[in-house]
Amino acid sequence: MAIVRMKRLRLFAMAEDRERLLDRLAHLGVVEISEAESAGEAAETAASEKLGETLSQIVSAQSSARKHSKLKKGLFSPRPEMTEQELLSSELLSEAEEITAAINEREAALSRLYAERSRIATLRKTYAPWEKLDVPLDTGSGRFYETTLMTVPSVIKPEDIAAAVAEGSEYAEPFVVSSDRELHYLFLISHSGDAERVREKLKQLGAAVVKFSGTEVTAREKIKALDAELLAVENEIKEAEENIAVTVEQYDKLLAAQDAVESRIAVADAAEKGITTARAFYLEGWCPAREEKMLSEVFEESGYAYEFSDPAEGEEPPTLTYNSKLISPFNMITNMYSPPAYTGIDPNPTMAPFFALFFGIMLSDAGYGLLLMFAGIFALWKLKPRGGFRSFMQLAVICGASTVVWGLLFGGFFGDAIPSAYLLFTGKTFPYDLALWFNPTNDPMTMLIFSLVLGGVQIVAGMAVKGYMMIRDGLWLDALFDIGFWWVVFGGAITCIFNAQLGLYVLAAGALGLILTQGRAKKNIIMKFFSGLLSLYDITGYFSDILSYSRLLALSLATAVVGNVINTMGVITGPVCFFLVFIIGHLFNIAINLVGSFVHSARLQYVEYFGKFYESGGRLFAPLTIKSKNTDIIKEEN
Amino acid sequence: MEFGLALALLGAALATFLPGMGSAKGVGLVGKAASGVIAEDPSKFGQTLLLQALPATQGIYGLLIAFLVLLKVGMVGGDGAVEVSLLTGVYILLACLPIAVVGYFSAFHQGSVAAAGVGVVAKRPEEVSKAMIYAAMVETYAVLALLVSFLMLNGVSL
Repeated sequence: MAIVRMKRLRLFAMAEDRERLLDRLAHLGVVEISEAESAGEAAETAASEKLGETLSQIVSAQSSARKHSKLKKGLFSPRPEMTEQELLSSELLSEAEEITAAINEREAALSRLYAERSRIATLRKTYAPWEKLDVPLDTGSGRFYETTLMTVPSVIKPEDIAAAVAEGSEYAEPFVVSSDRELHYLFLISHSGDAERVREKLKQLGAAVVKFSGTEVTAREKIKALDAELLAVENEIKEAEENIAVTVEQYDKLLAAQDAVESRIAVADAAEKGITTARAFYLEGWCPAREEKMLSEVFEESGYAYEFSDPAEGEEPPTLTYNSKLISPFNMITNMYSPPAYTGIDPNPTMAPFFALFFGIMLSDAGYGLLLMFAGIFALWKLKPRGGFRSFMQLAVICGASTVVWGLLFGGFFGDAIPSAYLLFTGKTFPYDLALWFNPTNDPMTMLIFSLVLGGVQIVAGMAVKGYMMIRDGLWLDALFDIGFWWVVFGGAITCIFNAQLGLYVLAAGALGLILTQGRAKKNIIMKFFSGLLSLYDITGYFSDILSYSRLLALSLATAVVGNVINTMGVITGPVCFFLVFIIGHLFNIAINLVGSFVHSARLQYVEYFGKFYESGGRLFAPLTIKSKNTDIIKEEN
Repeated sequence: MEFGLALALLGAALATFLPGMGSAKGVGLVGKAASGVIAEDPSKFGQTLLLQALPATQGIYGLLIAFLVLLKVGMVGGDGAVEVSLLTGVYILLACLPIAVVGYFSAFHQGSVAAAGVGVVAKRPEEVSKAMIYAAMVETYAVLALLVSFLMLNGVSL
């Protein structure tokens, strides 16, 4: 339930033991290797670069396998299971390398075929405009005639072409074969003597000569041949694409190999962080204090020289928080803000109940809460997620449960679905109030007061944590001055509601205490007084903090009222459309309000709650481990 | 009498179209920024969509108030239009103003912040939640305006 105490580890081993040591540490997964003072040798970098290359090849092979295979591997299929030994075996790696090489080879063949296809397609485009020409493309010239293929810009009108040709020679005839947006395609036949002159005339119009030297067939025949070629290439492509397809087993191998290579990279990086000399290997790192005994035994057995020490002044140990199963999903929310500093305090145990509470109040719909819970449970059961996604799904279950509770208290079940359906099918108003406590839509003032009271509770809780930290550090007088006197002020303000006179006295006493103590850091007596007086201005801060909790009311109203709007629209459209409007409308409402409730609950923690005490800026503990993103490691005795 | 109803409807119209315009603008801004990221990496669609949804809420808050007005004057549900006095009409119109005006401006600014957050998704997708919190800070004022509009409207009795 707190931040785990860390120990500094320094260790010497023989250089030849380095790999064995690091593999062992990766297996144990409790030591974070930190950079030793002097850097490793360059030779190591080459090794991890090669591993990096292998990794990127495996990943790209995975993606081309996914693209071309109809792998029956949905979201719900389980990860491959294997033991750690199997994962790190050289067989797996060489098998994966074989698969990768095969896929890459086929991929290369495929890209050659793609290039061929586009070459043919481009060629076909050059013949297409001449398709209607009945004579071979390279008809050439005879004794008295000469033929030419020309293109003329399409802005030139056909009659202008005819005029230009007529101007050049009376023994010449142009035929426009086809036209597109840019060009007319022209077949010109003329008397041998005049041919050059006619071409000159046309060139003045912007025409250009086209030559298909040696093509003694018509364009249509040429296109037919190309189409046949294209078909053949297409078939080859289809075949090649099917060739790339891999079996599920092969694909799983690739996934596992990715984990294996990433694990090896982690070990190689760790080796670089240590110092290797001709004979010895030196390593520095951090481990949780509770693992010290176990690690000592391991090191003792292997004959390494080691030392555990408490973090020295100025050293920054990594942060690892240890919480119960119910609280630990909330670590994610804190880590989004920033992990706690090692010397700070773990905010999760006190933050978690508030987060779940506020989320539930903001979403406040039993129906939505049930859906959220079931979605979370289903994902946890079927996907067996890990890491952040797992925490997220656990949060969905916990916050969903809170939403169900508040939905029941406030009478929200898919908005006012039950009364609406009752009205729709019986034509009568629903006679009961579903809210177990009260309905915020009908009684917003009660809800507003409730929201602000909850806000006050969290602010006081935040101050209490701060006070605890101060007392822990031996600053109990500061705790009394900075927290205690404010509490007296708050107490006075609350007492005012019941007994104005008494309340005012209490409030004044608290304020006096603040005036007398808040300037204690200043040297000058006048400055002490003014600093103390000025500190009363902080009341505005507490005031706006508490008002900020009015969003609990606003967001719970937003869910409820939009839900009611959807139901009312459903009732207006009648029984048939009701279900359609109901489903689409509520899905929309869930989506929008889920985001809103999450973000705003988080904001209340980050700004209003953490602002009171939280020391952020820690670095998360990242031990050297076997990476198993894609695989499930089967535990075995060692 | 008729004029009172007209003012109430004007309030509902303002509460719908001003925040609606703001949200459309905000959502549009984020969408434009997000498309650039998606062109590079389509797998970031989900994250950018979350950011895009943030400035959409003002439009919904406006709709919520408008709907409550329509419910109050009997245009939706109930047994047809009720009589709205001139003064009541003015009250209802005034009650609509906070969400109408603040909704418009906050949606626009929230959109700009969320659009900048799209840049965070492009470079450091793991930090998307921080960008979301920044955008949510802007929304606070729309939430407060919604609250005041709701309380005002709730206080008006016909």
